[in-house]
Amino acid sequence: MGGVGIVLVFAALVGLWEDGLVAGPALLLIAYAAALAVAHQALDPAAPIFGAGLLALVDLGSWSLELRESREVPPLHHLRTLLAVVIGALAASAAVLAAGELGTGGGIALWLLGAAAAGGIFTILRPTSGGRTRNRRPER
Amino acid sequence: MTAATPRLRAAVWLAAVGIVAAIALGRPEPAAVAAPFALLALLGLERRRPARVEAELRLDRARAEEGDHVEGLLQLRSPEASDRLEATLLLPPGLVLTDPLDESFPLSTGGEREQQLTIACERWGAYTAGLLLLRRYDRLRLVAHDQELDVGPPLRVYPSREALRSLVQPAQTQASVGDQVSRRTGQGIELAELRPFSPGDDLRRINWRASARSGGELVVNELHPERNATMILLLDAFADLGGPRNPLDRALRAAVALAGRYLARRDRVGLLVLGAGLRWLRPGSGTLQLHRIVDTLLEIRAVPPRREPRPLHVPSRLVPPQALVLALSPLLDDAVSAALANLRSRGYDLALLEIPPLRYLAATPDTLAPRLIALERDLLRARLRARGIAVVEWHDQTPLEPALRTLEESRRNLRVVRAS
Repeated sequence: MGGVGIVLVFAALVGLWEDGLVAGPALLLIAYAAALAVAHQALDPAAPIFGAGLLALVDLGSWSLELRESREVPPLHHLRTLLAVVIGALAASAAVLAAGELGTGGGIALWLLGAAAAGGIFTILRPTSGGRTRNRRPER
Repeated sequence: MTAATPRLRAAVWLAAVGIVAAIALGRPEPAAVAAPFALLALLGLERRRPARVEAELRLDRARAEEGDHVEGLLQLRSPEASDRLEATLLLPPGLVLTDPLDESFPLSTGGEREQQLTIACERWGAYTAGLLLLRRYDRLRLVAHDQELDVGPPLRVYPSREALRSLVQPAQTQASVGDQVSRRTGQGIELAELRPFSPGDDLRRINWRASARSGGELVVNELHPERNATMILLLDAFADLGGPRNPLDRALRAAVALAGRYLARRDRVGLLVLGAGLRWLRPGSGTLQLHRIVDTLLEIRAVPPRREPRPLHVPSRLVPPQALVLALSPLLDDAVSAALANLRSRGYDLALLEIPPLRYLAATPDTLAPRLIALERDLLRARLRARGIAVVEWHDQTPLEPALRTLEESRRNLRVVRAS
C-alpha cells in the first residue's frame, strides 16, 4: 500500500495525475496505520517524525508543481516557511502524542481541552461562512 | 473567488484519514500524524476575504496607428502582504503584449510593484481596457484568492492609411477656396480660355503675346478659380456575414484614407453611416475633422443584412447640395441600394465603390449558389448604373488607388453618355 502511495506521488510529480499528491500521502498514512495495527507495539515515538515528513512531502511536491508552471518563487523565502511549518508540525504532532499517552480514561482536564478545541474551531469557522468570495466580476 | 490549493486539499484529506484511522484503531499515533494537517486545514479555512489589490495601467498616449508600439506602466498596490502574487494581463484581440505579463512575485503590506509593458497595436479599433487576472496566495499557500480587474485607459488605434494620389473628383465645387480647380471661370491660377478684352476687365489679365498675334485686338486670360469641394463618405455597415472578417473592415480603411486625402487638399468631408441606425458627421475641414471621422469610424460595428429591410431614408439636410457622395458598400442590404438610388434621383452626385462580399462567404466557388449570387449582383449594378451612379467593384487584391481611378473613369464615361 505504501508502494502504491509512493507511485501516486511520483505520478503527481511527473504530471500524470495531480491529485496523486493527495491520494499518495493518504495511502502512506493508511499504510502506517495498518503497520501499527499489525505490530501491536505500545506507542510509536516516531509518529511526529512521520507526520512532519509527510507534511514536508506534500509541501515539496506542491512546490514542484508550482515550479513546473515556470513561475518564479524565491526559493529561500519558501524554504524558511517550510522549515517553520515542519517544526510546528513536529511540535503539534508530539503534543497530540503526549496527550494520547496520558491515557484514554478521560477526566475533567481532557474534557475541558476538548470543549475548548471545539469552541476554537467554531470561532474560526464562523466568519468564513459569510466571508467567502464568490465567483463574480468585480464592480466597475 | 477563493480556491483551495493542492496543499489545503491534501491537509483536509490527511487530517480526515488520520482521525478516522485513530478512532478505528483506538491508537493516538494516526491522530498525532494527522494533527499538523488538521491545523493547516483550520488555518486554510480560516482565511478570510482579503483586501483587494489595486491596479492601474498607464499608457504613454491615447491614440496610435496600426503597427505602432505603445509603452505602458502597470502599477500594483496591495493593502495586505501576499506571499505570492501571480499576475496575468489579457488584452483585447488586436492588442498584443510584446513580452507577455505572466509572472509571480511577493508583495509586502502596502507594497507597490511597477511593470513596464509594450503593447503592439496589431489591428485598428477603439479599445477600452485590458483584463488583469490576479491570484494571491497566503503565506502558507493554502488558499488562492482570484481577482479580476479592468485596467487601462482607452486606446484608439487608427487604421494605417493608404497613400492616395488620385481621387474621385466631384462634379461641382463649393464657393470656398481650396485646391480643386473649378469648372467655372473666375479668379484663379489655371488658364481656362482666351477671350477678347471688354471694358472693365483687369488690365493685369491681358495676354500680351496672344494680343500681338491677334492683330491688334486685346485678348485677356480667363482663369479657373481654385475651390474646395464637399465630400460625403457613405459607409454601409450591413456587412456582417457571420465570419471573423467582413467587408466593413476594408470600407473603413478606405474611408480613413479618403478622408485624410480629401481633407489634405482643403475639401470639406462628412460622414454618413447606414447601419443599425443612421449616424452622420456634418462636413468639416482640417485635422480635427479627420480625428472626428476616424473616431466615429472606430465605433462602427458591422450588422447583419436584414431579410426584410425597412426603407432607409437619408434626410436632405445631411447631404449638402453639390456634394459628392462616395459610397463604400458591399450592397448586401436591398434597402441600401434603394437609398442610393433615391439619393441619385434627388439629384446628388453619387459614386459607389462596391466591396464584393462573396469572398467573405463560406461557399465553395464551384457550386451554383455563388454563380447565381454573382448574376444577381451584376443585375443590381446594371440597375444602379442605369440610374446614373458610377459603380466599380473593388476587388480584394486591388489597392484602393486603381479602383478610384477606374471609378473616376467610369464617372467620366457616364457624363459623356448623359451629355450625348
